[in-house]
Amino acid sequence: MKRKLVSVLLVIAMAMSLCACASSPKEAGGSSPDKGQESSPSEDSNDKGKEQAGAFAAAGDPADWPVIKVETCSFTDAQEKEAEIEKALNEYLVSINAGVQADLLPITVGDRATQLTLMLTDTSDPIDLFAWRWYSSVNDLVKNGQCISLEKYRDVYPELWEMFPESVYDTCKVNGEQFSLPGADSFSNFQVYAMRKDVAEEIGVMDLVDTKITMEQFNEILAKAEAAHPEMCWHGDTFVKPLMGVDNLGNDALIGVLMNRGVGETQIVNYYATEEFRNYCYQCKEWADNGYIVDDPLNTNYAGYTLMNDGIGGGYMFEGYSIDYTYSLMKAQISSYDTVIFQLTDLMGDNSCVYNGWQISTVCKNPDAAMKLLYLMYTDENVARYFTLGIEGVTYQVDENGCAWYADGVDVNTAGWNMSAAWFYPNECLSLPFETDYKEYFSAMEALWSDDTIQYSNGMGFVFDNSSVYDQVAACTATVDEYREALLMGQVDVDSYLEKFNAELEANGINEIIAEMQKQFEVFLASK
Amino acid sequence: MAGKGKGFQIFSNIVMAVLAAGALLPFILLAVSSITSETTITKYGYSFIPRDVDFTAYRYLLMSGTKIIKAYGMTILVATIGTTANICMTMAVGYLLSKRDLPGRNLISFFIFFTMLFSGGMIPSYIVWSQQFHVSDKIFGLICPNLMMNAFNVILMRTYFTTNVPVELCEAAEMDSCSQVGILFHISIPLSKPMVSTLSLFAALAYWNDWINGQYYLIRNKDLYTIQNVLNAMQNNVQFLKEYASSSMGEFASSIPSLGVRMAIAVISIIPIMIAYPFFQKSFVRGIVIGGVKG
Amino acid sequence: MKTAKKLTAARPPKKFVLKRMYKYRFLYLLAVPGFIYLIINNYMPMVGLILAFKNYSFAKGIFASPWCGLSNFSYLFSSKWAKIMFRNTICYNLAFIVLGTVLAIFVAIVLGEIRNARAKQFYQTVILIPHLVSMVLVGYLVYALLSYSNGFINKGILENLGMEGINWYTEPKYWPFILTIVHLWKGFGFQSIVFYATIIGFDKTYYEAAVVDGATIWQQITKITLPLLRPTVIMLTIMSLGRMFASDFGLFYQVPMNTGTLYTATTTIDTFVYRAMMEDHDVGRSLAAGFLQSILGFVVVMITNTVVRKVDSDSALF
Repeated sequence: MKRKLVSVLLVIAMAMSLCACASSPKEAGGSSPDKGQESSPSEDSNDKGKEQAGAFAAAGDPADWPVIKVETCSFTDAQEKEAEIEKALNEYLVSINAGVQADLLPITVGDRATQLTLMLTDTSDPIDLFAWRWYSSVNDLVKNGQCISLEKYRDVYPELWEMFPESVYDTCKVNGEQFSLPGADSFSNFQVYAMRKDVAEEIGVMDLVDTKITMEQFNEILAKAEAAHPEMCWHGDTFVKPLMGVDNLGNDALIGVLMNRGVGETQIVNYYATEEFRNYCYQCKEWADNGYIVDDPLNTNYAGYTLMNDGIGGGYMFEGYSIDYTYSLMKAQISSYDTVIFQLTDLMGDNSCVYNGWQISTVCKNPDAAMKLLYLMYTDENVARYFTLGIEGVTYQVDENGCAWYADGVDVNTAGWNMSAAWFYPNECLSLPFETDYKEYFSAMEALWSDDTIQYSNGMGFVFDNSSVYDQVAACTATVDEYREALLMGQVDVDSYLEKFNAELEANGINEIIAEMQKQFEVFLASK
Repeated sequence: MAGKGKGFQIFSNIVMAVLAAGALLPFILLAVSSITSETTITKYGYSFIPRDVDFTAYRYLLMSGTKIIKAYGMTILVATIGTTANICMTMAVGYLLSKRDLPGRNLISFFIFFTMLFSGGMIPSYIVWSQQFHVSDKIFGLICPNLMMNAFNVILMRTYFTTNVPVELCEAAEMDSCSQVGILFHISIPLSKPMVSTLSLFAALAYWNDWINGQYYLIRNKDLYTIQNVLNAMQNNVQFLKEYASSSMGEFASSIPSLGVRMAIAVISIIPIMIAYPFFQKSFVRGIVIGGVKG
Repeated sequence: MKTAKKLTAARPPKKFVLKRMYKYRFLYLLAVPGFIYLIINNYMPMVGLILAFKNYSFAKGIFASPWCGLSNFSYLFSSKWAKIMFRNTICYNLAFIVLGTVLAIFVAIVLGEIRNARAKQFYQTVILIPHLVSMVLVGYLVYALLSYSNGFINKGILENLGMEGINWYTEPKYWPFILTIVHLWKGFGFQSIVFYATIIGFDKTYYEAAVVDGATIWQQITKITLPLLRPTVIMLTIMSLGRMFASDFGLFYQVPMNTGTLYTATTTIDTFVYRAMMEDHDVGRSLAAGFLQSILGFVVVMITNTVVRKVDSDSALF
């Protein structure tokens, strides 16, 4: 009898431990009590003030305003100031009678893809505003049903459609409909080569510094540098699209590209079968054979500046939109040496220059309110700075040049807010240059938006719908991954390897992909 | 197991020593790398003997100070609750299935085993746990999903009960009008201590090593992070930033912690297990003794 | 006597079913929480498997997403990769099952023979370490050994022997061996502890009787230990066969560091799917791959189990 009692008790205990989870919905709001209660939707008040579809007017008590959950970018999980910044931001939103409150949700970059995917299925505690950078592309977001169309807000917030060059908006459209708004950036760039200043002086190439140099001049510089310092490597990364001169049309595998970065081009090309690619492979092979690139290039994935800081590398390639801007980056990244910059290509804009965009999720319960907050993030300097910099005097301070620095007594590890990711937010140009003396950091960027001399790719905004050739794309992507790196790192014989590579791409149906792309591209061009 | 020969003892010890060395050496490499500076590793590669000693990696971890200690506490709490629930359920089901004349035995076994083959994937599982059972941002989110019971352990338990508990013994007990539950507690479990403690160890290790539940279900409430969540979040961020570090990240990109940190993270998460394991083993050995007496 | 009982157990008279159910009623009751847990944790999410036949839309949810027939599966079969990934997945798994089991049994037996308790404890602890290291780090450790310019094998061993260094990361031919060794290294401790626990639970009287009869250690192992281990080995093998079309993603992706030149030796179904899904996160297609792996595994298990039940009904899984 006693034993039976014990067994029954055990069963009850186990069943209860399971039910404990099931019964917890009652206290579901408990984890965020301060926000949970506020989030009652204000649909009735919304209807009253409505003039046109999608408009949003503030009404009633701020405590009844809808709360919009918006992701923020964090590199470490130390975001202790989140609550404080959120409070300050919400106070500000009340002061301007915004009609919407914000709920900041820091997501660390490492877990972000997984967490966003899961949160975008969550209708009970939905995420409202999020960015696609490092997560997905507008096309895939739309395909997966993760974001809503913003077209109805075009008339409500026309300023949002007038900030950037027209073709930039195209990159966030699918079938002519705006699903996402591009995040502010330079939208055009060129390739530069940064080199240690002492080496540049030693080999006597200072006269070329800050100018655009040709490939021959670049090779000469590399040759001289290698002769003077055979122990160093001169760059680590050869997969540099501006240098290859292609518009990737949004796929990193470069299956179907526009040459000349898409400027004036109307023909989709199988890049790997071109003479240009062959020559670039020869070039890479030469670099490798001459000992310019890092040892074990296939597996050494140290960033160029790490190699430089460690004294192994003497230079590396990266992108920028102005020489001054690249110097300001160098100062932040290379602590051990002074550097000089050589420009390698011309300033142009293509699809790969649009890095980010913001959109409203399909699980969002109050899109009008979310759009209002997004609008403020794009246009209100104060709102933008709460996101990019936090609170003045607490996380950052401003110097006489108008540049921001860590507030007194805090540094990158103790600030409690991530200030190194202004570019993650809708409009970084409303922020202040951070940790740099280059005060035109953002104004120079803004100037590019209205600069008519910059050439943009014809393919800006072309989105390839690969559903009819999906299998070929999957197979070709795997093949590209298999062959390309060894070619670009100069580890194999170019001619024979390239031949095998192309034969396999063809067997996997690259020509069908290109033909389909061309068909869609022509429709796209005609619609413009 | 009453081998006589001294020769066999020597042979066994040599074999085990070689295998243990094989298992241990890479760990030493790991530990040494964790106290070698990034510069040295990029320059000279990995080595068993440290060229220079550099505790930057550990200092970086220490910066999170109390967080790590708190996370250890959390891990122990989660692992204790989880392992207890796990082993109770595993024994209950395993024992039921070990009864050869149990009506529906094959059907139930199949029901259990089927879960090893098919899974609905991450999203459906998340929807069930977070939207039906609301485990998000609660300690249940760390305990309940996936780890509380698994078919593999149940089947191991079942096989052990069938092969290592003599049927005669159970029948004798039945004759003595001992109930089925009584047989479980007085005969089968004592006789199965080696496997019970092994499966407890497996369950505890699964909880100890798990970071997925934290990644899925602790989105806002990072106070509940276990040690693996803390370390893994750190590791994922490092990995991510290494891969995507773009020039515009400015200073932050260059302050990304190094490989050494990852090695240090591994060392920090492994050492407690090495310390705790002998305790598990004691219960292991005690189990054999008790089992021997009872049997 | 034992066999007689087994016979009655194997073919129980029907009319006693209810009686036996009554006899075990509390055991059923005890197992109920476990069943409920499996239903919640495993069976409820299995509804999601229908996504393998749908174009999943986050906006519409699992049930309202449109059907798309078998189109989610086609990318797995459409190119030369199909042959490579199926071949690799199956062959590696077979090798792992055979070698892993043999090694684990060997270690378990040897461990059981060691008399010094302290040494025993030390070995047991140490062989479990590899199981605790994440595959990403194993990747770095392997790289530390195999790196062309800095690796321990090239620099520390081959160079000292006056031999030329080998460029491990560009030669797929070495990788079947490397991956197998890494897999065995990482898993042998864990697996052998299962066998070890089983062995120490065996009835000591068998061995005592054998010693009295003058049996050698070898005879004890082959005549007593191995036959007694058989049900456990069969059970573990059947369970591994269920995973025969799946692979340890970390082993095949992180350990070779996703090096392109090694793809012919390192591409398995899981790594192929991962790479294909990197850019577009297609939920339906990745579930389709998982579903296919499960179905194939299921078929293999059903066949094996039927065969086993014919030969030795006690060892069958169900």
